Amino acid sequence: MSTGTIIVLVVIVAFVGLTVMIYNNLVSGRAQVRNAWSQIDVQLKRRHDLIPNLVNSVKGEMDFEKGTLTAVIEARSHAVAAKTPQESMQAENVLTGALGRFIAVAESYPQLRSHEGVASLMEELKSTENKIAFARQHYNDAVQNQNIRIASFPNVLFAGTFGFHAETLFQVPETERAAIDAAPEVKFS
Amino acid sequence: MTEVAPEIVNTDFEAAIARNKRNTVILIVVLTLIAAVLGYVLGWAWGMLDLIWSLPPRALGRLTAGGVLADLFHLPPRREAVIGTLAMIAFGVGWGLVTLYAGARILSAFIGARDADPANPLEKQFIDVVEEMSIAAGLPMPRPMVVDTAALNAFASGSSPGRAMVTATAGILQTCTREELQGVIGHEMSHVLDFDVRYATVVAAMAGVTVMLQHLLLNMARWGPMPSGGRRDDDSGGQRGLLTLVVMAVVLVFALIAPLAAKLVQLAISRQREYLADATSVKLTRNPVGLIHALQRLQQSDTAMTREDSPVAALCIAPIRSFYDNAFATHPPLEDRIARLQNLGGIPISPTTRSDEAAPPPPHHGPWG
Repeated sequence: MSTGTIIVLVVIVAFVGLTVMIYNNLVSGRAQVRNAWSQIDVQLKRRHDLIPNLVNSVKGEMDFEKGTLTAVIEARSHAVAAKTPQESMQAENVLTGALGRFIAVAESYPQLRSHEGVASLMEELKSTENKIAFARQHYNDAVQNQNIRIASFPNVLFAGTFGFHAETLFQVPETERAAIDAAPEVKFS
Repeated sequence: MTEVAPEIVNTDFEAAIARNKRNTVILIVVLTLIAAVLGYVLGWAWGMLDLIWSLPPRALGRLTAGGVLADLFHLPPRREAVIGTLAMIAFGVGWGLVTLYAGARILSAFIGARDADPANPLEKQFIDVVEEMSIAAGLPMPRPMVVDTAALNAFASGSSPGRAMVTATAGILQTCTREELQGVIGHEMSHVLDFDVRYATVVAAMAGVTVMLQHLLLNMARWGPMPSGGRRDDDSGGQRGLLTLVVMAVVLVFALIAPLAAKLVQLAISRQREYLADATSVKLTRNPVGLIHALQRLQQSDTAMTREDSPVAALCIAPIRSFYDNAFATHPPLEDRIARLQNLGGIPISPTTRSDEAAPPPPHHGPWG
């Protein structure tokens, strides 16, 4: 074999090796994004299962806050009934807002806080809300990582050919932000 | 071994992971070498003492203290020294493997940690926060453990994210708000994320064994060997006693040097890791305030962990206090870490006064604290 042939072979092997590495790297990034997305669903399901329990245990104590509770129940049934991902996302956002108000209200009632069963359910609820928020955050982190991988050199040369496209970030709509931030004022009178 | 810490905090996780995996291997090799030297000295002492107490008086006269010392470096070495070396290497490698697979459980047993109990509201909150932070980091959930002590501390251990444990003291669970706990657990989770735990767990387990060996050797030196065939009725008892003292002095010197060498290796855990873990914690919680408040509480607390020289020191979020605090500190000063976090958050935060009358956490966006 001439030196020329060897050089050509080495270059081909190096090229193929590099391509395989890049492909695997992009595939693993995409798998992380998919996995992060399914984690959000796991947490949302958990929230749906939790709400009936919660409602039953605070119903008696919260006669004075019927509206807040009804809003939660309605938002949940919409979320469970949602068909398309678009609908579901919207309904879940409404539910997050309703639960945020509920937590704020419940925390301001001492008799609710001191009730042991309610206290543990409240912890469960808070944790579930956090888990959903963190799962979404992790999804966005994974998306960001993958998008950086896709856009960086030399991956960018292959990504399109292999069918890798920038993933979409999960964005919390402004309306929900406002709902979370504006905890309602509670009047004691 | 003591790597020069880079000035700039490196936030490249993959680089941190690779560095930690490499350092763990180097560490096991270096500590095994230290153990091999100890094994050599111990084996030599054993053979030498045997010789001293079995030589006939006439031959004993020709053996001087200098001769005994020279024999330590004589090649080829005594058979017992070779046996001692091989035994300690086998022990070192074996123990290294054990710590890689069961390090976290060994440490838990050592400091008396137990599984967190979901029936206890504070511990339930701890379990929830650990799960939340593992979701934020995209890691399997570590096993939450509790140590029943009033001290304020927390640490992560385990050789891989799948085998990790996060341990908190009952004190820190009692003192910290949910938001602060998130910051603390986020810090620990980042140690899990970039494989600091693998390195640190091996350090801790190894350091634990060195301390044990040191006690063993010192006790041996104190009580001295009581050779069974000794004390013959001759006038060479004094000479034998003197030579025995020489041998024991050699053992003592190595027994004191070895743990010191191990300690130096332990210090190779760069303080920079702590800054990285703090920064990652904020990345996970998106909220620097919780961790800042938690660190301020640690600053104000004066209950140190009981075991000052504990091998878990390098793993803990707060420094374990002892005399040689500054010289041998595994962590950068808390003030410094708080200052960096305040820069990161871009907001000056007035220090809270006392842990029991701390200001209510300021309103924040995002997850409920």
